[in-house]
Amino acid sequence: MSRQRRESTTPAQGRRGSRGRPARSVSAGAGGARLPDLSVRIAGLRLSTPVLLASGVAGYGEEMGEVVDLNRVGAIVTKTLTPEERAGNPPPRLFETPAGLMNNIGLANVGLEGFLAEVLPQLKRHRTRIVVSVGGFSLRDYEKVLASVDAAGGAHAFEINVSCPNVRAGGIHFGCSASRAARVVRALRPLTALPLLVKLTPNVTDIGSVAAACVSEGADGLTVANTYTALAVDLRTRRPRLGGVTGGLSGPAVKPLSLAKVWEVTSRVKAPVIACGGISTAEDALEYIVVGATAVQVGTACFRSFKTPELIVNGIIAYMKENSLSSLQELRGTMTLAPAE
Amino acid sequence: MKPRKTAVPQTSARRRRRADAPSVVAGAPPVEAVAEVRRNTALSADAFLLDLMVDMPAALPGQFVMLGLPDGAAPLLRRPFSVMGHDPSRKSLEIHYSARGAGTRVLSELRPGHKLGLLGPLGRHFPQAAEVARRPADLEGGLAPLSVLVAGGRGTAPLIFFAERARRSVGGSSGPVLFLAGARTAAQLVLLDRIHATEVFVSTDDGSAGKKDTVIGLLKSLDGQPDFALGAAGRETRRRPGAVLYGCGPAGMLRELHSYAESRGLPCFVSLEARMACGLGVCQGCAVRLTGSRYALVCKEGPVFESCLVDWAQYEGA
Repeated sequence: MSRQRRESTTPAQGRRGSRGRPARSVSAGAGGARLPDLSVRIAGLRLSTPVLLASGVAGYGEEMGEVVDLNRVGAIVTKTLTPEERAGNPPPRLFETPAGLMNNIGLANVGLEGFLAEVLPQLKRHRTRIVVSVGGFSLRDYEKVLASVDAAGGAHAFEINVSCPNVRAGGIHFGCSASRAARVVRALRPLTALPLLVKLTPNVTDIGSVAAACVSEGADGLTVANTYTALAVDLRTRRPRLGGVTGGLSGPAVKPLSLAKVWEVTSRVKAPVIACGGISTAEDALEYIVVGATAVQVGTACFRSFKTPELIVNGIIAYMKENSLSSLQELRGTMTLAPAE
Repeated sequence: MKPRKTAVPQTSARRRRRADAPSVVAGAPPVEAVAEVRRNTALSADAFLLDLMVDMPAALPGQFVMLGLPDGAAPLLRRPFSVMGHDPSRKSLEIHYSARGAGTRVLSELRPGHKLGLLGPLGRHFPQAAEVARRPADLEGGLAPLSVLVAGGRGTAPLIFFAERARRSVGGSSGPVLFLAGARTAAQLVLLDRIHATEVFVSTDDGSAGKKDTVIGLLKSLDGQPDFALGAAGRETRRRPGAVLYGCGPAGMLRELHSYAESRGLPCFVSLEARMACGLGVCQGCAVRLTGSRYALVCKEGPVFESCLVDWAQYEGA
């Protein structure tokens, strides 16, 4: 908390524009006009912009750092971390569908030991916020990863992945029922003082009840949602297109689906929601915010251009200026169900 | 022949080093840039040569770029393409592609002035023969090893780039380059005029151009004149270090090339393909199986691999 407080009282130094309110960097012109405040708060965690890099597209920050200014995003969510290193699932791991991407990666990651020794020290060098995605195949796995990373320091929040559709045990198994999801949160909550987010799966009948169960056990926020279980078949060989048979569908194709999921969750719980699903433009992000999201994550769209998150941030600033909004708070959850006059 | 005897342990030690080495990519870090179409020339019914104007750090032979269509146009993802030629001073980047899928068909309709999103240069390049020859060149009186480039179908592009660089190397220090190009039929041998090598050999499955054989059959028929393993080159009095094989083409062809390299004890480097999303090693999507049940990412640890590292039973191409 002290870190955030310190930051908010930092004088507006132009040379550190990418760290503080991004509006500063676009302050030219419109003399004296109020600058929009893009920062958002999620359980005490202040993010300079509401645009995060979703888990799995930013790797561990290092690879992407070559082409993206990571300090223009509110936070990076790391590739999901499991206690042991994982090689991932057999290829092919990717298949593109109309406006969508199916993946079956299988939580390939460096494992806890490699993460603490090599990745975390690198991540700490970025000024952006680091959200560590925690995965596992048993409650013990989740506990071990979270407690170890928490003890090492450097993370600003955790996102619990109870929704990976591409591993046999664990993952989605925990996210598919309200009681199992609650059990994970109950076990992890006492282990950290940092914000605890839960990334939900959309592959359930009632996502609102899973969200409510997580919040009642102390989750600080919810990421809505992971990918949709999907299948593609090669008609020539009559084999599945992916080595792991089914995969998770992401990309613009799922935006309307996840928009509905976010609406279901924000209608049910008060906790902040980070929307994730097919966001590739500022309009996409703003729609999610109107439906009730506090922040958004960009995933698949980064593969088309790694400048996407930055363009979304710029687009949000332009929209706020156009509509004389001083903060995103004024926009959040303002979808009106009444018919237009 | 003393050098022959020591060759085996040297090779395996080199292989071990490579297998354990971290994925170091030589060359400049990639940039994301806008590439403008200068020319998009049809070479045959489905083969095209794309000349792009783009400000990109110098690419090396074997490296690739990701190309994507701008703003909302399908397909969603960028696609990887081998670099066929790159002149940073002219901002000229050449790509050879076949209009086979939805993405490349859209690409084939682009006209001068159209813009593409580009990420590159990416991946690991082909090492030069002198760097990988079994016996260091200085042991052989300074003669550089023979480079044997084996291209199947659409696989010619990166090897054309390789041959071009070798030709322009200082005083021909890269050594002689044999270029073997194979295709199903003569109409598919679209880039022959762009191949600049010491010698060029051609094969077609139907015999409509060059030798009627596969490109691997062609390779086998050429070995011995000179002997690739011994490097005894024709009229030359001094011996060359053994040849280094380079391959790019369909999965089956590369598998055969590897078997051949193994049987002759020759180092062999191949360019692999996989479906790819990010190009930077973040999404873990383009994994191929290596020996020892290990996965490697084609975009980061490849696309060029030493063929002895690849689990060929598992490799199916993109």
